[in-house]
Amino acid sequence: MTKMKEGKKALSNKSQLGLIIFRFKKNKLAMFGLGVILLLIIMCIAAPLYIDYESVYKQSMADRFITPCAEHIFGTDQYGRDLFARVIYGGRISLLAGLIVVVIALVIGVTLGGVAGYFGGRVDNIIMRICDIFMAVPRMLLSMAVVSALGQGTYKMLIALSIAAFPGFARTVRASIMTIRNQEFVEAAKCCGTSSARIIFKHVVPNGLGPVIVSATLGLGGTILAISSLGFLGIGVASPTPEWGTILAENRTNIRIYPYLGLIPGAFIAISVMCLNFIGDGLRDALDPRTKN
Amino acid sequence: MGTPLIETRNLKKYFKTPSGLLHAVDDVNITINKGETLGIVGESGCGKSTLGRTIMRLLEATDGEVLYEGENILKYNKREMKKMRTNMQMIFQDPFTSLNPRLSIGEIIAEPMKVQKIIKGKEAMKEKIQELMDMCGLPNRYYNTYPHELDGGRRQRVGLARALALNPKFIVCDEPVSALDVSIQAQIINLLMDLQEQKDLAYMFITHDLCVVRHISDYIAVMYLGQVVEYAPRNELFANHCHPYTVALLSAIPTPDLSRRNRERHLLQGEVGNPINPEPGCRFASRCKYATEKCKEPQKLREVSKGHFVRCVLAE
Amino acid sequence: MAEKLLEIENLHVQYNTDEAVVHAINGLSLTLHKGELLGLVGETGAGKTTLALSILKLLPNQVGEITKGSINYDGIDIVAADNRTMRDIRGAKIAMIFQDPMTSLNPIISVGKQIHEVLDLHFPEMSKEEKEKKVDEILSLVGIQANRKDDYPHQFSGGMRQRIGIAMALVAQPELLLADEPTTALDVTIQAQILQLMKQLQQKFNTAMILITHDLGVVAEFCENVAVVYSGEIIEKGSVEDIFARTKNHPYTVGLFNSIPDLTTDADRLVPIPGFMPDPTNLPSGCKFAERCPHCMEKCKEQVPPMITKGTHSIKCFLFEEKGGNA
Repeated sequence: MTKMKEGKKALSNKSQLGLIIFRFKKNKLAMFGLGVILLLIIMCIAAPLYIDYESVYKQSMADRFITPCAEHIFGTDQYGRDLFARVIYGGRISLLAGLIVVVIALVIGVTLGGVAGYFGGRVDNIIMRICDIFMAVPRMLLSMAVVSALGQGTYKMLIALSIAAFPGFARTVRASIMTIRNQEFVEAAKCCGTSSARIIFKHVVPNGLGPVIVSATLGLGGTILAISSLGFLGIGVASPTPEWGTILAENRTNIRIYPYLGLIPGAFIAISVMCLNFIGDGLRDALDPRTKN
Repeated sequence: MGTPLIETRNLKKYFKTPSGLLHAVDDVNITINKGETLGIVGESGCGKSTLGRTIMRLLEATDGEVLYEGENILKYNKREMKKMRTNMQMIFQDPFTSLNPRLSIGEIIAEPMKVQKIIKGKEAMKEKIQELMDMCGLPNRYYNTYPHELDGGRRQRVGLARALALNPKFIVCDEPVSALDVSIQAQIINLLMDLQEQKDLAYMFITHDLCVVRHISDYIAVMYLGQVVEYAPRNELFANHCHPYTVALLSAIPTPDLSRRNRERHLLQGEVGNPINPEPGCRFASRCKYATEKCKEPQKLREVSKGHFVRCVLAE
Repeated sequence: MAEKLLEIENLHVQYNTDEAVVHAINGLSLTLHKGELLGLVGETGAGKTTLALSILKLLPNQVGEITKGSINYDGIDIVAADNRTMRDIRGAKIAMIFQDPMTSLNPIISVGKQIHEVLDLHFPEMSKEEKEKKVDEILSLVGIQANRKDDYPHQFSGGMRQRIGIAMALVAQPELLLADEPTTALDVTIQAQILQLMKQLQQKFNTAMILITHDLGVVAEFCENVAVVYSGEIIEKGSVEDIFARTKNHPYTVGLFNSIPDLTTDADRLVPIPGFMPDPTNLPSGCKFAERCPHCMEKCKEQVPPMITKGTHSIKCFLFEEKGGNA
């Protein structure tokens, strides 16, 4: 106890955000993950600057199955399309779509979870049972069902994945809200006549966001994986639009002879998911004030 | 004797639990006069905090009335209650959870005024906040700092500044010094008493610390399992306490005074039960060495001398 | 005078955190005799708990560090002792009672079994029946019916849990008991019961005990000797009579007394100690209390005052240097 207080005093010269950044920076794996992800994002965003968009779709029978060389650093696929261009442009869709799904799911999840956690009782019961229904169906199965109901297409897939992802966020938010809503500063706000909406969004939710940010980062990795899986199964982004999962699917018949066709897009999926997990773990530790050293 | 500011009439707060109705506050009648302090003493689970929160309408009362200047505020609707809240405020026990960690000290003190929209303009607001900080002994340099950078005593000052922001006439103080070290505790108690003098505040001071309650209160109510068992002016209570629970409570307090070391002690047997579906009789009877058959009948608060009420058969 | 049990000399303990070095204990010396009951009083951050952890060598790894000084327990050098030696000492020779009875017991093991485990650790040669008998015995000693030994911690109230904590600490009959704020979380009437129980058992087993508390009242009623800690140093020690006679005290102790509302006299206002305890990452070079002291002199800011002893009463203050003036 004494130690904790004294420790706290020593760290007290920095703001809370400063402390979080400080702790995050000390985590080498998380910093590595952040670096790689940032590099990937920049490469994807800046793609038009160094890759001609046409080379993503340009087929050339003469250039089929060129193994990685100076001209095609990732080689070409069965239609002679440049794999590097497809993977980089595919990243724009995979990463961006992942981000959109997570943001939509977060907005729905935080609102529902916040309301459920703050009010409790019947409101909580209704909202959480709805979430339970969604959670009872495996995420992939649910997205597949939604896609087959709405029809194929990138936007429909985004909706499907968001629906599959929000209950998880709602649960996380609700759990952290429940511990906060009984704290005395919430009572103090009630004593001043503060409205429920203001209490939830000014006092309660900002204090419960830590775990949500962590699960969002981890969820982003999972979502990228889900998009790729749907793409691979042929019900996500429609070929020939490049997306890491669809690229894998297109090339799956030739992987045995030309392994780079599978390894390269596979490595992009694996690396980005792994790095997002590193960041998520790092954030979790950084946001926890009990973590020292 | 001043004019009554806050009164409760037969105030009850029951909680539903799986094993029955928990009588947290059971038929409590108290009066707090303008500019005076009522101390509420009791052990954990006696319902003293629930009483404070029911008066503040943080919890909805099961039955009874809370009168503010004669008007029953439990009947107020949302809008009337919001306006009412400028008159009554609360300060809390735990200086580490009673302030929102994401807001700066300035923002925390501004929050009640923003909600009630009583100050217009950024400059006027800033001025008012600094005035409040001065009043509570907080140097201006803390304006932009965050709660985790302050120690318990200073945090409690922030809580007090926030409570004073709306110019209330009545403050419920829920164990405001229990979590503080003695030297800091004394600073906060002095501050509370100074402010009471300057602003003619009425306090309801909830605590388990009899030394503190004696120092600060004009009247004292001793609670046991949801009921007031003894209620008297401060000096009267300490000189002529007669409920066996008050006697035991007073003799259990350790004091830094060697002359009291070998005093006769009335050590209580057993522990506080819980008031779930209580029997109609005296709730202290199971631990009371004077308990008789008569204690199984319901007991009323009886006036033993002027202003001194006791809920006990012995007081007849 | 009884035999010396624990001797701490010029102990320095620091915590190495990310940003700064926290000096928790700064040159603390203490002697405890067999069967002695010492009250260690101080405010939050004075280093009381750190001292208890140092004696048991339970300072957090890598962060907490004993930088100077010695702890000698019954001929064993604790600072140099290895883990195996310490394991044999903890529980068997030195036991600890914690502040929070809610968290210091394992919630998923029945209380009887938890006490049994202590015996398993320290008396492997004892037969199972003997151990069971011992568990029953110690439980009835602390006022818990033996038939409740198969119950789990959550089935007991706070006071009862603290009784179980005491049973666990005493079952191996240690020679030294460290009680870290054992009654702070309890109500006054329960506190009185627990303190009385501890005193009875302490006398029965002739255990030496260090009672760590912030409550001067508890010390006055319960202990024989008192040490007042401030900023990781003992600034005053003596018998309860020496300290609570209130004729001659360290200015800090005087300040503590004045901060407590009295039950018998009427005062308009309390007299708090101004200011705050010095920042343990940046301690003053002279007397640690100088900044808040009403009698502060020039030399107090530069030199550390010596411990001035008269009979059983010692005060670390220049005020009492030659003439033994009055504060």
